Amino acid sequence: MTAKALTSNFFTNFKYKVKSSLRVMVVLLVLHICAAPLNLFNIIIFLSKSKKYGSASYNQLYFAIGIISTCIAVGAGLIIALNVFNYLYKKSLVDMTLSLPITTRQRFFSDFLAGAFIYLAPYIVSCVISLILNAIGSSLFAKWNYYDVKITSNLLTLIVSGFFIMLMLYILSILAITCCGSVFEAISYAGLLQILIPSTIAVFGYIFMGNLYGINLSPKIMPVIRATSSIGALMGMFSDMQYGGNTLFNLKWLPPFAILTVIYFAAAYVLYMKRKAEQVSKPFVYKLFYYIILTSITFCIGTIFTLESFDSNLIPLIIITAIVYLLFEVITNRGFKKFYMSAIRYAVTIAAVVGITLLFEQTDGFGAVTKIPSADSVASVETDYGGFFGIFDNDKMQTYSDSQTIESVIKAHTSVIQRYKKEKNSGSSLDPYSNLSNVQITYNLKNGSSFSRTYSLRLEDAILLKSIDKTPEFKEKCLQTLKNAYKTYSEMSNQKEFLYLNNSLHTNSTQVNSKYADELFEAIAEDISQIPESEYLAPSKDFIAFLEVGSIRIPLNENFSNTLLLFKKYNIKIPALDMTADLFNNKDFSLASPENSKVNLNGKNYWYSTINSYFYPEEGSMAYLENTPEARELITHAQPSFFTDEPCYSLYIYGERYIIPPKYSSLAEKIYNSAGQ
Amino acid sequence: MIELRGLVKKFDDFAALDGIDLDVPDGTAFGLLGSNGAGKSSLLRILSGVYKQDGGSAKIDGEDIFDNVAVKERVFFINDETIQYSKFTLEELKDFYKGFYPKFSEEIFNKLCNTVKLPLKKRIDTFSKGMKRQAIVIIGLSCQTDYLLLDEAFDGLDPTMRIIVKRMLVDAMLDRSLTVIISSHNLKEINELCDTAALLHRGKVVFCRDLDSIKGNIHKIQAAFAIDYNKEDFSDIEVLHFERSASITYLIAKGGEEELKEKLKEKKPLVLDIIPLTLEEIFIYEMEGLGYDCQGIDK
Repeated sequence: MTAKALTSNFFTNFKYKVKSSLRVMVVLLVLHICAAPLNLFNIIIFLSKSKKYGSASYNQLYFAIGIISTCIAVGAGLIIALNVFNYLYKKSLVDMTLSLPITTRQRFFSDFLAGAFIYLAPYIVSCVISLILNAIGSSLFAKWNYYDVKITSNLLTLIVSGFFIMLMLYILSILAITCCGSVFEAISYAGLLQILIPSTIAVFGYIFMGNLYGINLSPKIMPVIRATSSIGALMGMFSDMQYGGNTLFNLKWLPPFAILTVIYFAAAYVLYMKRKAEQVSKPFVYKLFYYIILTSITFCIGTIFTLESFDSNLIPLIIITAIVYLLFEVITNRGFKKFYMSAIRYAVTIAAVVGITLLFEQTDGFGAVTKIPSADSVASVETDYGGFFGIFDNDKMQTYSDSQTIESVIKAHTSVIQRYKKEKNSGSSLDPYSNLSNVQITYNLKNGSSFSRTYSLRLEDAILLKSIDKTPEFKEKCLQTLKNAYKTYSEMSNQKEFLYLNNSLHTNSTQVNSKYADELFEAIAEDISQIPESEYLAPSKDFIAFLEVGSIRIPLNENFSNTLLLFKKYNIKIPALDMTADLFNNKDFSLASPENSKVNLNGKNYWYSTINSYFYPEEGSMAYLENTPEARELITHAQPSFFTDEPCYSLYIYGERYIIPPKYSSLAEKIYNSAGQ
Repeated sequence: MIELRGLVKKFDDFAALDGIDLDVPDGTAFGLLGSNGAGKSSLLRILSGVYKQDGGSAKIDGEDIFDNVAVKERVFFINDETIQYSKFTLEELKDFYKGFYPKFSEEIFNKLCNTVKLPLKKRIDTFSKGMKRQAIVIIGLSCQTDYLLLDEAFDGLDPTMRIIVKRMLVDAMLDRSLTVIISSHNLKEINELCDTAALLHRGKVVFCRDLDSIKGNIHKIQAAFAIDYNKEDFSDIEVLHFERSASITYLIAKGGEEELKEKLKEKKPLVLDIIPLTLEEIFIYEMEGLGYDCQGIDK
């Protein structure tokens, strides 16, 4: 047999499949044109009108049409795969197809490429049209944006993303069809597989693992969902659209997605090659596929039910999973043939699911919950702890590798776990959401592995973590962060100076000259590292002013001795509390009683204020401050960062809460009782 | 030449073909006989490369069939269904197969279509069952393969159409030494068309010979003896069926006419008639000998 004949048969098969689906291709082309090209065309019209008339409104209906038509066109991948590989589940086509002079490998690739062509060619054509419209748009308008969204870069990302998402959907459909031998199973499981991959990962990550104390896979799960299925990738894209800013879409998810696509394709190919012609008409050619799907469904349902508690949900769990499982078995076995075997299989599956879940719970995820590394095994530790004064952005992880910091983190972590064990053994409820602050810790071990934990810290744990602030590494990072923040904000605002001292009343501020910035940051970093631990939560010194570097606000008091000396040295004026009469007697300047400002955490009352936190107490529970000498004095004692379990008054200034330390409670009480509400 | 050696095909635990040894020389019209489930269709599917054997070998001119494009281009398989062609017109079906079979002859296709007057542009699902069969036989013959495999190919054809299809096949066999393998329950068809036949039963070959020798090797004997003999008294003859009605003894026995005469003469028959059997009778008595009969149903 010559290579020419082999190629000829390959293309004959390809041509036949494509030719018989021309009508489908036309429909898909129309659907794709209704998406990006139609919207680009309308954006051109919209921008033209905006240019001509100053403003215009874009009809959002076009977006809706685009999304609907895209969903239909993308979903068609499943139908095309079913159509191209129809001989895998239609017995009447087996003899005709498999007796043709074409090898199994050739047939697979020829059919695969034909389906891909039918599915993707209309998309590619619509992309070309989109690119032409994009070129027209960018040549017509100097600012080729849809509001803030940059069209060209987003369009290119969208085109690449769309191509790979469609390709994976098509390949996953082929994978499912290859495992099935009858029409019903091929159709239903091709669809089910698309949904079940992201669902199972989501249930495993968010619910199953998320139920374990401190183990939070959420940040890692979405990328996994996005990389493993088309539906996951689409969800990721919608999420990008919501939170992406002017660069809506990114392609960071694409490399693992492309690798997974290749793996699915390889799996489909291997299973296709191993299939036997006589297996058509059996519901499943590969029973393992069926049991994987069925176990995943049982696992998902089981996990959702056992989320709250086993005791109350065990019976409904068994009933519902049994109905679902046995229904699948009856459908697959086409009746009640060997039903006892189905019942046994169900019993084994549910016992495995419940058993594993219980085992996970009882052993705290096989010790994962209570796992704390020894300090000498840790190479570095990452945490989003922003420092006591919130110098670091809480969304950004900071990496520390000095032993002092690592030990501080481990100490805080150990305290969390000991409390967890104690409360778990005593049967008291663990409510992670009523604690002080969330912190994520990632240990990078010397053996190359790493693991992360997320805790909602209580006061006692949080204090332990704050010893990080005293380490030289923290000091260095603190200094760099202040410098970077200053540089960034200066560049953004085109101002040389973006360094202020501000008082709590926002009535007076001092701009600090940039030439003192570096020296000032050195002094602040030094002061932060020297502040005694006892002064963290309840400073004994009165608040002086905020030092503002961009969004960073540091509440200065006398503990910042180096900083204050620097101000003195360079004659930088600390803004005075200008209390003009119009400040008083309104809700933006009011006092709350201890009863009205307490915060309950884990059954215990606390009174606290933190920087940049806003509170809006109910109307009527506040006393408006009157312009009296006592009130003026009270304001000077208000603390923007204070934490105590001793009842005390709170002062609200433009929504910001300031604690009046307990030692001034009698003064506050006097003012509160005499003030109008 | 088709060569099957120790051919095994299993469906789960059931052996549809259980060690088949068979040779089909080129240019033969080969009939495959057998009860339902004997393995005829499985055998044809292996020969057409649809199934892969689980054991033994299936070769055409020394080459394996499965996944071998060169061999499969020389084989055309027509199964007992026509639903798979429904969405095609005859012209589309021609174009489809023409791409796969390099020797496809438009001339033969047009000639045969003209002979049976089949519409080229109508969808095949609008055809009658007989027309559908004709259509696919025309395609099969136009592909000009060396081997044509027909599984119950005459089903649904009226007597006139049967003659036309048979004539098409015979012409092709004469013109280009086509090897035809026909599986059919219609033994009359096999009798008329084939020169060699094999009987399959439970996945094994019961016999494989040319039809003349099959017919010459099994006979119906009607005899009257002075003594009432039982079946056991004829142990020197291979008796497939024994029946006695009054003084007449009926035997279906294997062996040549002369050989049987010689052996029966020893029992001094008063009357002795030896009659050749039709293929259908041979099939029934052979199957009865293998325990596949309709006696249980009669009772």
